[in-house]
Amino acid sequence: MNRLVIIIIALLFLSSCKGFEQECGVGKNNRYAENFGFEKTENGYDITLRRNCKEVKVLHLSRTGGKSAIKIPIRSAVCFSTTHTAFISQLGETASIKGISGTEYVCDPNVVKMIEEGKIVEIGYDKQLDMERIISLKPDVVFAFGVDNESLSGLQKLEKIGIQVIIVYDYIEPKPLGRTEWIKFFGCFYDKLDEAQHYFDSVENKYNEIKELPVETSPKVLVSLPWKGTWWVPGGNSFFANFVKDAGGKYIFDNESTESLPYSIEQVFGAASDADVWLNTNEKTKRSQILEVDSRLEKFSPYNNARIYNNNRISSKYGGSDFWESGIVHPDIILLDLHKIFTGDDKNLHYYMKLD
Amino acid sequence: MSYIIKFVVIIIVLLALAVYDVCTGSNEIPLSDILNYIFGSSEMPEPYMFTIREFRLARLITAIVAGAALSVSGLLMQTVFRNPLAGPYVLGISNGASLGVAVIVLGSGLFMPSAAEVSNFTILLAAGIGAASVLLLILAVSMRVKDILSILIVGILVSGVVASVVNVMQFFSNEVNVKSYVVWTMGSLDSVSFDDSVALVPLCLIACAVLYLFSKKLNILLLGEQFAISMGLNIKWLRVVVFVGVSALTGAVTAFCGPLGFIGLAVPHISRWIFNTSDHFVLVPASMILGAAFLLCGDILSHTLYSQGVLPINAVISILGAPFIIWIVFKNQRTVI
Amino acid sequence: MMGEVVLNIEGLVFGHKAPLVSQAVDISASAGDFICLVGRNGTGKTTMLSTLIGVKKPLAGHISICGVPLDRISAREKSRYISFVPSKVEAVLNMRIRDLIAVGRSPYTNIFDHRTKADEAIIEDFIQKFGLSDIAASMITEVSDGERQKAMICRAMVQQTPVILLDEPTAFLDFFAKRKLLSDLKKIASEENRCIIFSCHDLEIAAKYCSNIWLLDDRKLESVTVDEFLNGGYFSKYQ
Repeated sequence: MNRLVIIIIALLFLSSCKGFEQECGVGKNNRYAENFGFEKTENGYDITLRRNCKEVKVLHLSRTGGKSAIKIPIRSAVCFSTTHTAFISQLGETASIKGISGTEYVCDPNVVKMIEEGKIVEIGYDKQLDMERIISLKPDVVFAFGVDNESLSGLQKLEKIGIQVIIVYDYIEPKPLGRTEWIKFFGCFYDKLDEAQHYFDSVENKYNEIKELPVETSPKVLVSLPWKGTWWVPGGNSFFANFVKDAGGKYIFDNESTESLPYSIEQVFGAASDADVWLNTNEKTKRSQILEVDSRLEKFSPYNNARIYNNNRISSKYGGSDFWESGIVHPDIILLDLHKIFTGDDKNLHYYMKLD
Repeated sequence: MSYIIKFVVIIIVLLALAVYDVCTGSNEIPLSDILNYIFGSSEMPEPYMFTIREFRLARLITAIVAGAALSVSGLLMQTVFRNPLAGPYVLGISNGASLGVAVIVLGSGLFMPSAAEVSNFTILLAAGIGAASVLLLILAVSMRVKDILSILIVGILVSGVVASVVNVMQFFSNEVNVKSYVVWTMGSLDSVSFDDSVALVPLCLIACAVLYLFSKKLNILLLGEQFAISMGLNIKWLRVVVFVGVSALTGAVTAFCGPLGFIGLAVPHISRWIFNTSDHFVLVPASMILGAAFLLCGDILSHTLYSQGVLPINAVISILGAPFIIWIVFKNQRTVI
Repeated sequence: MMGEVVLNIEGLVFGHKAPLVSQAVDISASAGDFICLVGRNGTGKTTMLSTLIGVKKPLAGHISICGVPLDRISAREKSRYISFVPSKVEAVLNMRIRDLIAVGRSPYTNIFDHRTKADEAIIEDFIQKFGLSDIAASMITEVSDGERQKAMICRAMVQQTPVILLDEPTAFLDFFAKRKLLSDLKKIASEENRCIIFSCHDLEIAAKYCSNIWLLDDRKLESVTVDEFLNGGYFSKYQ
């Protein structure tokens, strides 16, 4: 009997676990981005990094350098994310990139050329981070992303030799423009803040213009694919859900989560078997591949009506999608793609392709 | 005589759980509609019938078949190895299946150009081939080796080697593939389509029936191998039959549902406890019924506990089964002779 | 019938890979005999018994029981001719004494182990004879070692084989229990008209109860009567 009570208590505890979401305001001097804020100082900038609304670190950037400050403009960098290389390229500083984690996922032809010419080196990823190689590149900054704790502590040792390791939290921004606004972050490091702000203003305008375009009938939008019976669907307040809503679509789930949630196929079927449009189906390129994941997906309307669109029209040889590279820097183009899909005009899409 | 009463009770429990399970899901589907669908007038809209068939019934059948198959497998492994802590996976069959799946999932990108090649079908195929390969290895060994303990050791070694190979593959893989593989190892009853689940039924029934017919021999085997030989048993062939039967059951379930732990280990003990016997004529059907009930419990909990979605089935049945394992260890203490 | 030859061993050479005897063995035993297989440790007593029950194949020679050659019949049939009592019983959980004894009928029952009224009568008969009625419903794990052994021997009786082999049955018993067991077995051999062969270390006691002694020594197996044994100086050899 006691055993039973303990089991019940344990299970109740489990069931009450939920991710906690908080509303935090945008960072200083930003309009959308929440996870960083910045301020001009006498000789440079102070950047505040936030994670889950808590301040994590303050970076001091200074043109004159000095103790505990990062000298700007930086001359060389190592990137862990192709989004960051896209930001840096947008600022015209591609030449400063010395190393990338995951070179086979890069889409930008200029960067690919530099990789082929050996000017940009692969530094490995996940457990196979090549510390020695990073050190030999002598970068001023390592823009890190998606590393586990072990690798992180390894990276932080680099600080002792004067290599700054900064974790960039652009990827947890829930708003599309919030992510793009991180170009200002990079702008600070290259001392091109004005250029970054100018760029962002123009993108913001274009984005909002497209947002205002009318959509006759707001389509119901289904996203992603199940795996082994569980369907991780981004929450109603997540990055992509916000894109869908800004483009005039109706996102399937109405919850507040910024994270993905594990639904059962049955739940998704119940909510969205009558969806109008299906987007972002992992790495699939043909309609028939959808059925290979689970034969029951045949019963979803977008499958039958052939309205499945995937965001991997432009990909690197090994499947890296440009959506996550230049797409983040050009959210207006993504929004336009979505708008076209939602209004039934699916020719001339840039990041999206229709699955046949 | 009391056996009959106990069987009636556990069958009623099973039916109750089956009804509860089939009514569990994201939408309200009244039992009457489900019964209507199964037994006759199907005048319901097609998407509704699709939901009943492909999501509810598929899951129900899978849970019952997998629970029964794994429990019987565990029971037989405990008998053949005369070890109360043996389970269906001691031979390394499920590790073989895991290796097959790892090659497909983790290897995409390493051996194959892109992850687009990973399909449900190739995973099934790879899991089946992996499981069969390990079985062949174990059979080859058991034809040559007399001592059952040696076979157990070979099984454990094979499991270990395979697990290490999979670990290395995970190390060299990217995040996405590793996550896919890990999710596979969490097991899932939801990913089996109705047709597949129905296909599992005859396989399970036939294998269990064949193994049931060996109950007399298995009862004798419990008393010792030398003794069993003196009673006329051919130990080598008995092992072969049991290994093939268990591999078919375990391999099939693992290929479709991923590795599901605890059931094969815990349920035979629960059966022994409830029926207070070691007689396989009683324990085989009892384990099937109790195993199905156990897995149905796990399935119900995995769908109802977490309000925002589903919990992985392995985690749920581990939490359910762990107290039973601990209890088994305590129970067995007094009878170590 | 009493005195009828039930076990005939011709030209037998036994061992694992290498023979344990340098001469082939020719021995026979009759119904009612109570025989002790004696030999020092390591000479091959257990191997000899294993060869008789069929766990090991003979390296050469034939064994026949009641005229039936054992290598020509199936293992199941063989278990109607020879039964075996191991020195230790595995502690099987949840098995009752009665179930253990009933295993003795399995060479005669069908695949579902269905026992006829006749089978049940034989089982009940021997449970009574062995005085096990009180513990028949208890679990194997609940009774003492001695009672468990008794049950195993009862099972061998239920199996109704002309020849019964026991592997070191006195190994774990104290002085009194040894004597009791052997005197009981001797009684069974004569009353039930079986040929009972057991392996043993204790010569004094064996000499007291057995009709014959099979001596395994110096890579030779020979059968001697107890008189021959006591008077032939073998005994002193083993002091």
